Amino acid sequence: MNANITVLSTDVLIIGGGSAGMWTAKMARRHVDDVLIVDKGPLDWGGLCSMSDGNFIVPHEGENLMDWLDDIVYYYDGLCDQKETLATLAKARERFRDYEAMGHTFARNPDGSYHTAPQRGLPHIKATTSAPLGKGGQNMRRELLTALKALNVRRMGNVMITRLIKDGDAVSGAVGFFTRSGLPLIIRARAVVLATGIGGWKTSYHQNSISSGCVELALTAGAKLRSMEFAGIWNTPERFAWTGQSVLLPLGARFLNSRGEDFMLNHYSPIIGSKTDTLYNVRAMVLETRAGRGPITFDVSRIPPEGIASRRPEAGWMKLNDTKLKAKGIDFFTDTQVWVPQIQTSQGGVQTDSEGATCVPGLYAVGTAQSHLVGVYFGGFSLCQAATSGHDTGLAAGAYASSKEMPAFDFGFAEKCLDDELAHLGRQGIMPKDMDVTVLEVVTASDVSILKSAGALSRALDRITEIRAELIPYMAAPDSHYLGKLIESRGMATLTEAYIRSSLARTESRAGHFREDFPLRDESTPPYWVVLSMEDGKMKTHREYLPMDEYPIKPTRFYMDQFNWS
Amino acid sequence: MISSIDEEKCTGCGSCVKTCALDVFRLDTRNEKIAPCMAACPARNDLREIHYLLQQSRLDEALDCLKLTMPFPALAGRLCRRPCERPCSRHALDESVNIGGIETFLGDRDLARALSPVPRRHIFKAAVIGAGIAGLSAAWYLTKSGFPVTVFEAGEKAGGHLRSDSVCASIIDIYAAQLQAMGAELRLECRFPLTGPSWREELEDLDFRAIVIAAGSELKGKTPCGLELSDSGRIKVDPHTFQSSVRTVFAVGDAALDNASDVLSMVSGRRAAQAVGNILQGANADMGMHVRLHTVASRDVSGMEQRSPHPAGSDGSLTLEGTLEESLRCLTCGSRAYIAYPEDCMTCFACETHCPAGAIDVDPFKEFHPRHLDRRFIGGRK
Ligand SMILES: Cc1cc2nc3c(=O)[nH]c(=O)nc-3n(C[C@H](O)[C@H](O)[C@H](O)COP(=O)(O)OP(=O)(O)OC[C@H]3O[C@@H](n4cnc5c(N)ncnc54)[C@H](O)[C@@H]3O)c2cc1C
Repeated sequence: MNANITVLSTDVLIIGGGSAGMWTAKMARRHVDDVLIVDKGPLDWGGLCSMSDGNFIVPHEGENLMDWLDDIVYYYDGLCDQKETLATLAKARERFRDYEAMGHTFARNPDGSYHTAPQRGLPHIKATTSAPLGKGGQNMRRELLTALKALNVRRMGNVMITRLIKDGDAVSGAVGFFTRSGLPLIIRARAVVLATGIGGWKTSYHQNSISSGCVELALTAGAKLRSMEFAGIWNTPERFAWTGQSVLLPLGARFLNSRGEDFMLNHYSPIIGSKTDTLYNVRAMVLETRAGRGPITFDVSRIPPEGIASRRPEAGWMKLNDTKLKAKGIDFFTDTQVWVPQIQTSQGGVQTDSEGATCVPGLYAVGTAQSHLVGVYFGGFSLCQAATSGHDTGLAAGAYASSKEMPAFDFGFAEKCLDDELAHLGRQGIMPKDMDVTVLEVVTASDVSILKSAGALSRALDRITEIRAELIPYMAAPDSHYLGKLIESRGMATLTEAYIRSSLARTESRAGHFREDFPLRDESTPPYWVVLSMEDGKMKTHREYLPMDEYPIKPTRFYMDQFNWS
Repeated sequence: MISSIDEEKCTGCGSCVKTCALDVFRLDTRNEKIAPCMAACPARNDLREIHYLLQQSRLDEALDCLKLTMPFPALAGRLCRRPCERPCSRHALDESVNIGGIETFLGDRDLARALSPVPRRHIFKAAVIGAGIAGLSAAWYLTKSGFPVTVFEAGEKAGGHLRSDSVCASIIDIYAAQLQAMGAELRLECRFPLTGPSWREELEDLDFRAIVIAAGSELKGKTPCGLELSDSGRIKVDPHTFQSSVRTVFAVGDAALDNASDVLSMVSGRRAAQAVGNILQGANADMGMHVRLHTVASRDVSGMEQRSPHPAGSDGSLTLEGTLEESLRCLTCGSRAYIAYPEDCMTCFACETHCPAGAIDVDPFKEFHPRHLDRRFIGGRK
C-alpha cells in the first residue's frame, strides 16, 4: 500500500464535529472505548453550533406535548412523522436538563421562569433562549467539548471524508484526506455516523461548512435521501448578515414593499402577517417584486424600545457586526434595510429509523444530516434535534459497534477512491468559487426554489446536467485547500440535482414546497415522502406514504391555508 | 469580507488559522527573530516551523524539518531534558506545549520510514570511530550529504552507553539499520587502536580523507597519537567545528566534551559532519558554521484562549491526533498571519473575535448575491 496513507481504526467513526456529532460521540462512549470524530473544519470548531444563538426548542414542565405536536402537524401541513416528533419533544426536556447540568445558561425572566420566544404565529411552540445574547452557541460548543475531552473522545480537524467504504452490505470505514496537506487517510470502523449536515449552497448567512459533503457520501454508499425537495429559504439584508429574525418578527418587525405597504398582513397573510416562517415571507417578496413593488425592506420601527434593547447584540460576532455597521452609518434598529431571499441549506436528509440507522448496516445519520424538516422551520429546532438525535443515535451506533467484529476492509478499493480524488491535486482548472456561483445561480432563480414550476425545474435540471457534464470534469485543485473546496462544489451540484428531481416528484404544494403549477395539496393520495436513491448511477425518486392511521393526530387544519398566493 | 491584517499588531499566534472554518489564513513562519523555545533548544530545532507544519498535518515535512537538525528524534524525544518547554510562551497562559511528546511522535514515525540508498555524490571517504549516538549522528549527516562513510565499532552492536537501556537499544538498532540502508558501512567488533602509533596512517592507507573520533570516554586521559588534549584530558576541539589539532581529525561526544548530554553529543556529530563536508570540498572547516546571535521574538499572551494539553500516555507519548492537537497549542511565536484564500471568506467574524491582538479587520459587507438575485430583487440598482 502507498506508504503515504495514514491508516486509523476506531469503534465508531463520526464524520462531522458539530452539535449532533458531539452528542453522538458523548453517548457512543457508553458502549465503546474508542470513538473518533473527524471534521473538515478546524479541530474542535464545533460546526454551526458555535455561531448559533443557542435557542432551544423544549416544552417546559406543565406544557402538554400533544398541544405541541398538534401545532407541528398543523405547521407542517400534515407532513409530519408524528411518532418521531413526539419522541423528540419528550427527549428535548431531558437534553435541556443535560445542557443545564453541563453548565449552560438559558435566559430567564425577572420572575425566574425561562425566557421563551413565540414562533411562527403558533399558539404553543416557543424557543427557550440562551444567555447572554450572542454567546449561546459558543457556550454549548464549549460545554460539549469539555464533556468529550473528559471521555477521551478522539478528535481530528481538517480531515475531509470523501467516500464511505463497505464490506459487502455493511459499512467498514471511510477514506479522506487532510485538507491542509493533501495526505490521504483511511479509517476503519465498526460503525460510521454521518454528522455532516446534508449540505447547502454556501450562501452568506451560514458558513460554508454546510456545503454538501454528505449527499455524495450517502448516495454512493447506497443510503437513501428523503425530503430533498425542501430547502431552508432564509432572507437577509442585502449586504450584510443579521441573525435573529425568528425573534424579531414576533416583536413587531415586518416586511414592507416599495410603497411602504405591509404586504403580508394586507394581502398574503391576513392572520399573522410577517410573523411566520421566512419561506412564506419570501414567497410574497417574489410576488411583490414581480408586480413591480420591490425592493422589499425590513421595518423594525414597530418593535417597542424594550424589545430593541433586548435584541441589541451583547457579545460574539453579532456585537462586532453591529458595531461595524454603525461605523458605516448603518443602525439595524433605526434604519430600514433592503432584504433579499436566500436559499441556504437543504432540509432534506438521509433517511433513517428513529435511532439514526440508515438502510446500510453500520451507517447512521444524525442532526441536520438526517431528514426531519419540510421546508418550514422554527427557531431552536436544529439544536434540539441535534441533541435528541445525537443522544439516541450515539447509543445505537455504540451498541451496534460493540456487538460487531471489525469488518474486513477493501484496501484496494479504498486506495483507488483516494487516487481518483487526489488526482485533481496540483493541477490547474476551473476554480471552486466560480463553480459555487454557477450552481447557486441555477437554484436561486425564484421559479426554481420559491415558486417552482415544472418548466423552470426542467430547465434547471438541464443546466445542472450540463454543468455536471461539461464544467465539473474540468475542475482542478492547485493545492489541498482547493481540493476540499472542489469536493464541496461538486457536492453542491449533486445536491442541486437531488433538489430539482425531488421538487419535480412532488406534484402538489405543501409546507415549504410550492408549485405554481400545482398550488394545492394533493388530496387524492395520503401524504407521502419523496425518497431519492441512486440506481445504476442515476438518481431515482419514489413515494413513500405516511402511516397516517398509526398517528394520533389526523390533520384537519393546515398552516398553508391561511395564506393567499393569488 | 476579510479586509486586512495589521502587520504591526499580528503576533503570529495563529488564532485565525486555527479557528477559520473556511480555511482563509496561513502563517509566514520565516523571521530572523527565533521563538523562545528555539533559543533554548541545544540542537536549535526549528520548532516554530515544525509545529506549524504539524498544524497543517504536514507530517513528513515536519519530520524532514526536524531531521535537518536532529538526526535521531526518537531518541531525543525520550532523552532530552526539554529545556525548550520552560520558556514556552504558553507557560504563561496554561501549560507549555508538550514539545518533547511531539518530537517523540515524529521520532517514532521516523523509525517506521523505509529509507533508500542516498545517491553517492562524493568520492572521498570519511571514517567514524565509535557507533554511539555522537558517531552515528556524524555518520548520518555525512551519509545524507552523499559521502561514503564507514563506522568502526568495537562492540557487537551500535549504541555505546545507550545500549544499557532496552528501549534506547532497540531504537538504535533501527537507526543503525536505516543508516546502512542509506549506504553507510557499519563495521562491528572492529576496535581501532587509537592509542597506537600508526592509526592515522592505517586509515589514510584505506583512503579515508577525514576521521571523526566518537569513541566515548574510554579514551579519557589517553592520548590518541598526535592529538592535543584539553585540560580535562579529552581531545581538544574547536567548539564550533569539533576539529581537533589535526586538520582532518574531528572528535565528538564524550571523546571531546565534558558532561556531554545525549542531545549535545548528537549536535556535536552533526556539526562535525558539516565541518568534514567543508574540508572534503576544499573549504575551511568553519565555513558557514559560526553560530549567529539570534534575537528572540517576544510574546504577550494576554487575551489568548486557553487550550488544555492533550493528555499524553503514561510514558509521555502522544498519538497522531494527540500530536496534531498539541501542535495547535503552539503559538508559533514570531510568525505572521496572512490572508491566503480571500475568496473563501464568508464574513462570519470568527477570525476577528478570536484574534487576541486585535489585528484582523473584517468588513461587515458580504459578497454580492448571485447575479439574477441582484437584478430581480434589487431592481437593477447596481
Ligand atoms: C448564525 C446561526 C444562528 C443559528 N441559531 C440557531 C439557534 O438559535 N437555534 C437552533 O436550534 N439552531 C440555530 N442555528 C442552526 C444550528 O446551529 C445548526 O443547524 C446546527 O448546529 C447543525 O448541527 P449539525 O451538527 O447537524 O451540523 P453542523 O453544525 O453543520 O456540523 C457538521 C460538521 O460536519 C463537518 N463536515 C461536513 N462534511 C464533512 C466531510 N465530508 N468530512 C468531514 N467533516 C465534514 C462540518 O465541517 C461541520 O463541522 C443557527 C445557525 C446559524 C448559522
